[in-house]
Amino acid sequence: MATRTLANGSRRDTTEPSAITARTVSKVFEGKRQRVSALSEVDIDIEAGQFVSLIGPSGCGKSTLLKMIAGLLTPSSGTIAIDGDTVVEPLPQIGVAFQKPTLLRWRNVLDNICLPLDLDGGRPADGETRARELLAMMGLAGFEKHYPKELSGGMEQRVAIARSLITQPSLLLMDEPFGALDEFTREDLNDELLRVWQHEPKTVVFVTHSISEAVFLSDHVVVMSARPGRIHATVPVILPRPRERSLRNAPEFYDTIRHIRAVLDEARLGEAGGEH
Amino acid sequence: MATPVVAPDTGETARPSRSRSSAGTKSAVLAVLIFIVIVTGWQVLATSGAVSPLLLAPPVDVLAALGQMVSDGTLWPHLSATVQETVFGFLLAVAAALVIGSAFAYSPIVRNAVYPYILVSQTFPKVAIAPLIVAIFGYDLAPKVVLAALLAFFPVLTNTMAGLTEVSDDEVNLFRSLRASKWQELRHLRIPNALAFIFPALNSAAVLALIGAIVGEFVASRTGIGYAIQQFTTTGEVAATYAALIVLSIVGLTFYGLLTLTERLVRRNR
Repeated sequence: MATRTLANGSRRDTTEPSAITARTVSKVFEGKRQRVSALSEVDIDIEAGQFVSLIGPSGCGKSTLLKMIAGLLTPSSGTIAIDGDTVVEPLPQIGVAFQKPTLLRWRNVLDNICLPLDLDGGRPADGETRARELLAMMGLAGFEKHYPKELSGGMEQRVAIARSLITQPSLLLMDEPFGALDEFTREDLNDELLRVWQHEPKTVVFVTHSISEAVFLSDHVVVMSARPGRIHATVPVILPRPRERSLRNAPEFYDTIRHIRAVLDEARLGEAGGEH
Repeated sequence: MATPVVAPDTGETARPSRSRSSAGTKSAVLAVLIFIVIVTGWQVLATSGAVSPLLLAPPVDVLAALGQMVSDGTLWPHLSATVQETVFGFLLAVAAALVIGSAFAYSPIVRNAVYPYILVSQTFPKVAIAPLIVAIFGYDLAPKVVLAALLAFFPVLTNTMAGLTEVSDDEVNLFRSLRASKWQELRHLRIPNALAFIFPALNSAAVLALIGAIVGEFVASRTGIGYAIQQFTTTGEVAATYAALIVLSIVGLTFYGLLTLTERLVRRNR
């Protein structure tokens, strides 16, 4: 279950992806003047090894749900479990990538990727080798000694993803990691992410605003509605894997996008107040 | 009235341009030219009789006075006293500011209770209490060290507080998601972050410590550059007064250089 690097430097050979269950999970933010219901009675089951995207309008609570799975927020009611363990704090088998790369500016690229190892008992003998492999997989071989200020936004995010993978997490949680990037860079990073995922199977929960990104990457797209945040529908994406760039031109890719857009519209029109 | 937090050095530097070396040479040539103009102007002004020789000594005489102080050894006890007062005051201020700043960063309750008093004490011109401090601590090293420390303390305090607390939510969440302990968060996130804030404050603190030491010497002292300046002024040794001022500026530049060197060693490649 836990596939984190062990303190003595040994590592499990097989990575078993994690399964996630959420039961009647709600989250209310208590403001000074008002209570905001961010998420209301969400049930979700994510099977081990699935790539699942959360998509929906602003305020639908998709980032809130992701942060609760990560153990960074506590549900107001209900429970979330990863591999049967109730989440009350961040579990060791997760890797998290944020919207901002959040690299430490005083560490070079290699040391940034190795941060999770440094915080978990130090770098094992093959730690830096693995960091270099990940960096190469993200298309940044040779940038080990560069500092974050010398990198572009896309390069920084590649490093951040390599960092989230260094501990061989069985569950990767990504909160709009490519939201700030231009379309071309985003597509490149989608390709690289899928390549890594194919190489090291794991469960991925991916928050995004982009329908095409969600379709390209996912096995299931979870469509959410806002005020309060709920799961409106879970749409399976029946497209063959491995997925290549050429899929972006395929009619069935567009069919799926159209379908999900329709479900999203339905979710938004169903909102109380219907302000759209 | 709070001392504004000095902007942290985030390592953003201009990219070296292709013409950097030639631009550097031009700047150096210009700097030398400015120096020559100032010294020549000074010499002319002092020897032409336009300014009373009781106010301005020609640079040649100043240099001679400086050479005299060095060769007959009268400079060293004064220099050593001022440097000691400044260094001790600086170190005392930095140590206190780092400890108190960290305490404030970690306990908002303590900060909210104590900080207003420190703020009030900062709005007060501390050199005004120099005579009182001399009365309390006597005529030797102690009152100057205390004055130097009092002046140097505040910028380091505010920047330590800012550096330890101004980390982004994302950075904190990253460390939480990696199950970092509070100590690891401090060691790997907050302290490296704070260094970018603290080093610029140390430069201000060194200058302020030197000011504190000199003011202390002015008030009551038997030695030190400040004492020497007073003696030279009262006895009309104008050239020696200027020589002492030049020594002070060399002391200030040396502190600045040492701090820059320390920063390079501590914050490599940043």
